[in-house]
Amino acid sequence: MIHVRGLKKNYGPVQAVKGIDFTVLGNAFFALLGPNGAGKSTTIEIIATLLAPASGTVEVDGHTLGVEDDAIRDTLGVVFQYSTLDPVLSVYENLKIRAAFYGLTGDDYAARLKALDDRIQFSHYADQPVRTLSGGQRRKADIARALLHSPRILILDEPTTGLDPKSRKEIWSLILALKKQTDMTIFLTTHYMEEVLDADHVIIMNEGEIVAEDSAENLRLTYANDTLKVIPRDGLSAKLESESIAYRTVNRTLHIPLDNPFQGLDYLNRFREDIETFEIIKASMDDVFLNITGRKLEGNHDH
Amino acid sequence: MIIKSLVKRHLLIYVRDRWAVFFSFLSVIIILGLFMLFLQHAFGGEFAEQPHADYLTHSWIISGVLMVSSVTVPLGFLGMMVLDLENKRINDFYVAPLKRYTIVFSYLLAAFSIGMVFSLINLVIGQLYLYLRFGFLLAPLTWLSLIGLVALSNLLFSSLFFYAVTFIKTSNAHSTLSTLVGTLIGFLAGLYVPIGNLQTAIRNVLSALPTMQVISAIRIVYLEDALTRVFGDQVDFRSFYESLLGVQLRFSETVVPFWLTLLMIIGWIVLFMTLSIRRLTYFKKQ
Repeated sequence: MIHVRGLKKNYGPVQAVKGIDFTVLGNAFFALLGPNGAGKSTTIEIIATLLAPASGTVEVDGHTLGVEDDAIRDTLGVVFQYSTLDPVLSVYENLKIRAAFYGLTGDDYAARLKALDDRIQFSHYADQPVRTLSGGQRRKADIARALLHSPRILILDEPTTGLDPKSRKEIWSLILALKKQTDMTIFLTTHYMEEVLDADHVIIMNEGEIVAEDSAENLRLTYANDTLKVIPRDGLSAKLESESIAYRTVNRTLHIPLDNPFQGLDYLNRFREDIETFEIIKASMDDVFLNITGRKLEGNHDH
Repeated sequence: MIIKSLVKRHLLIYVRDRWAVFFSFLSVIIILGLFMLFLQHAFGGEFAEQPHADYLTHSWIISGVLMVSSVTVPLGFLGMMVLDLENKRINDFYVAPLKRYTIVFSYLLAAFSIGMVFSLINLVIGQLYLYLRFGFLLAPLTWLSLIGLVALSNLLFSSLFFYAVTFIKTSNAHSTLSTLVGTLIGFLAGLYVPIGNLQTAIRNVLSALPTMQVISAIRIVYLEDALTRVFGDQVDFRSFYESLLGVQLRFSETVVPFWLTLLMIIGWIVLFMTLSIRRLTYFKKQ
């Protein structure tokens, strides 16, 4: 569905994307994860025909970028990080103007609008100017705009960034519902770990390069360990050392990395009398990112 | 169809921003205010004693306002293009299957359209005012000629400012340009100080600018009736005031004929349209 080969992009001396390759299969839920400045948005903007690559090839639904750009644009619906709707116009006015770009007018437009409203439910505020809407309402309107022409691929560039928790949850439910109810390919970029857990395939980007790719679960199993966290009684440290079991001390607790959760059960049985209390902490995508790149994902800021 | 939707979008946004509309007319409002307070009393002496002299001075300022709005309205409007580029709202059009030149041309067409609408409103209000105050109305053929001239004027200044704003990256820079043009336009069009009162060298420089050429062409048509009523067959007296008021476009002692003034205006349009088309590369994928 999307084939990217040897994609590079420079901004002056800065290499934003450093020769990446990946494939997005049809009907997949594909996630591009990385901190700000990783090259995610640049990659998206190249695929969406906004930017020209320095080198490399991109093929979208069988159409070659740079040759069949109009056909690619017909295939894609794009939700940008920032709202592109006109703030002084109502949602209806925004959608009607943009529907005409795709030849959607009259009854066809009315039918499409109704179908979108059934799915996204925006009609109760669609007469209001976009500038008066909440962040979540505006984002829903952005998604409705991207879906106007029934695209085969929906690109969502950090769709929940800047939203309050309630709106984030709503938008995320909508995205998951779209995934379940349609056969669209969903291409998501995000720097929120939890948002990639539902993805069929995850690519982790850092500083313009792909540093890992697999399903979320496989990435977790490969690049991060579950942890047995215990508050010990006297003598546990010595026993662990004598059996060459790695651990680290954090305040009063010992953190013991596990190859799998059952190893935790084994340790608990063996050292039961030396443990006051315990918990098993599942490895997160945060840990995956930290272990791969040596830096934390959220809280990073760049441009 | 697509370009119609884009132009409709641009116009809707512009007219809903009341402050943008107000500031597009600020120069017109200032010129009218200055006229009420000072300029209408600037032509005293022998001239003031002529019959219908007031009709001529009022027609002179109203014809000037007609030209000024065709400069400031397209420039004010084109701030939207700068803003759309600045806040990346234009990306929403770029990801649709539209040709980039269609998107870019829509701003030019909308700038011309909104300029024409406001010019025509100015023309009607100005004529209404002159009719109610002096009882005179221009002939239908003069109306048609004026509509043609304001169309040329709007086309010229839409293309000129379209070209200019492609070099501007921010709304702040556009505001600065608008302020600069708004401040200078009264001088460039010979409205604050009648051009005949200026030194020959300055007069020649101003006459070489499109603002003076357009206003001269509009005045020739707009003021014909008033000049005839005021001066009748006093040819020398009329010629002196035509020169003073900037009705005649002159380089030193040479009067530029009307047809040549029109050719110069068309030449400016061709030049800025060509330059604008060459600047379309600015909108290409980077």
